[in-house]
Amino acid sequence: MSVEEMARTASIALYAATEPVRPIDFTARRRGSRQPQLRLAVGLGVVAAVIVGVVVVMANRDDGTRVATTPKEVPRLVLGTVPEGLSPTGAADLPLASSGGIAFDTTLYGDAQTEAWLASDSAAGAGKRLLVLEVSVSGSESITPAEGDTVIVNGQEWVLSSFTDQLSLGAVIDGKNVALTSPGLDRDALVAMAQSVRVVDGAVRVEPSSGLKALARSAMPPSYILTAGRASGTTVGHIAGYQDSGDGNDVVMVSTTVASADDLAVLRADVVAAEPMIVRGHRGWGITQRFDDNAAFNTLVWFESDGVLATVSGTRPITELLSMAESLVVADDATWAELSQPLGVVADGTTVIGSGDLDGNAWRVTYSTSDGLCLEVQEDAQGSSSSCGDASIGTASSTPIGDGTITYRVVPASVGESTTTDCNGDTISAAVTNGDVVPGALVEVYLLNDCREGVDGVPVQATVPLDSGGSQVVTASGSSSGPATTRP
Amino acid sequence: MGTPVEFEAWYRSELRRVVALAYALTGSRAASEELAQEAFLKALREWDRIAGYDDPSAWVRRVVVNQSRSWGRRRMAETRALMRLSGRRALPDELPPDASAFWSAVRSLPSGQAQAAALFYAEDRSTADIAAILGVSEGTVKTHLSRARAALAQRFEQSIPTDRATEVAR
Repeated sequence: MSVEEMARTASIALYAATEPVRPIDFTARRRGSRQPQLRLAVGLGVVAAVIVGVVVVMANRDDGTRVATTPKEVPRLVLGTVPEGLSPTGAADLPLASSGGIAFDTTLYGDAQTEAWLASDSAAGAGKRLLVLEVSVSGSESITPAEGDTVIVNGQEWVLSSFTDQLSLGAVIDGKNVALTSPGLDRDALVAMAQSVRVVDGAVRVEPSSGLKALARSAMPPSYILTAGRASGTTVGHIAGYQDSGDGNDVVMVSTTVASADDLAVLRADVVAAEPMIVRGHRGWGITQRFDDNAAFNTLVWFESDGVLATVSGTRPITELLSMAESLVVADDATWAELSQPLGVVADGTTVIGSGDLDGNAWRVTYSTSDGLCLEVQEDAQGSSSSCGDASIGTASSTPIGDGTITYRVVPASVGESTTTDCNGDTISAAVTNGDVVPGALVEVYLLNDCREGVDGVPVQATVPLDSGGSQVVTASGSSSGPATTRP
Repeated sequence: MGTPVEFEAWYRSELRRVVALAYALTGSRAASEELAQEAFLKALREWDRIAGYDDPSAWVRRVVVNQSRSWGRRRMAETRALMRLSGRRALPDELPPDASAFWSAVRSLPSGQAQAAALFYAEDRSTADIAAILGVSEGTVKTHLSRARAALAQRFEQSIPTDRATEVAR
């Protein structure tokens, strides 16, 4: 078969596979939201923000199960012996001050077998269990609905999908992203649960089926976020990161966060398998998660003391993580300050994140604790001007500067590379060159031109401390792809 | 052009083809739809300006092609999160093995060749169209296509004469 024949066949298959594509009703969205056109893009940003555990607003608990602990009571654990090939990349106190306006609320329902399993050390025999995850995003923004089989329940559209042998029903209800997930219930049982979903006083309520009762409730991020070492969604705690100096794919995170037995119960119920093991003399669990590219991410989780959940997680095998856990030491203030020390701070305390030339005007983007993120432009024979402003998680804001525009967008630190598109459709991409695991928020700064001929946008990207606790500042670089603009 | 109604009609007529293009370039059915919708959202946001272009369809394809290029590095972060938060969908490979292998081979080409090949084979675009979408010269497109075809032929053990390989472009 020739290449052309193969291409023809492959193209037919390609279009056949797009058959279920469903257009978005932009007109309806235009009526329903002040910024409907940003819903999807911001939604993606929010989802991306979630995965790295940027600051998460804790849902107010009404059951009184959360342990009240101040940050000083949670030890700042760091590796006593840093494994070969890794080096510290930063540390921060949690939560970061800038909130993404995201709240998690997960309720675990289970049967009698599940209840017994939770009280045991067993990795198996978890019984029938259901996790009801509610993700609330501030404002009117929403997370993009999933792809899967559509199920209409009481007039509400749900999406049925499966992941690692777990069925899940997801929907957006009153602006809340709701997922009903169960390793033990079948489709009909999930649909029956969906029929019982009600929003009462702004909270999602489910009437459990016969034999199931509420066993635990957690405001921590879902397991796949927590076990990725991103525990910053909890109320208070600390996190330290380590990374290789090469491609940055070898990472280890250490966290200590305030948590309850409910939080651990939800975590255990949500992962495919949590193997019991002894960690630093405590009962702990080893969790291996494999993602769609079969990459493994391992996590050890245990209670270091009452109300203090500790994790060591990363790309290293469980056995290595166990050795690292044994080496953990409590960092004193000086050590922690050194780990949290921004890089590249100039004498006046201002960090130059990036600099360049925009259509003949020299510019630089700086960060300082006093002024935040600033753009300074040296205009020809007209002196200089500066613009400073705050950026918040998941939002974008733009400020005209001279003939150009600076756009701030805050995205998670571990996205690695992110892109935006300038006014001519050219992609502006920026890749963090260091600090992917720094537990701070990443601020993308795009200097976008206003579509003048021959001028491309200039991306700058860096991690900056968005809270007074301080996370690491790293310099980064970006690039602009596509040819110089030629459109009017 | 310039009104929401006109945007809607244009969007609905183009969406499926743009999703297919993104699918060819990313290999992810879910990602392709997200990228396409994101590109159309960008178009809507600037519709007053884009509607005045000679070919808004070229603009939206340019956005998708550029976004698809970085998708591979983004998908570990974004798709994973999206997949799980929004109902934990799987990302099945919905293409038959032969088609999947073909587009996988296209994606393995250098980015310029992959983009040109996707537009050529999936969209049946002329070299002039492809040049306009990618913002390069038509000669560059012909070079990309020639090299892409030769690489694909070698990949699938279809040896072709050199002179034929240079005649891919129409």
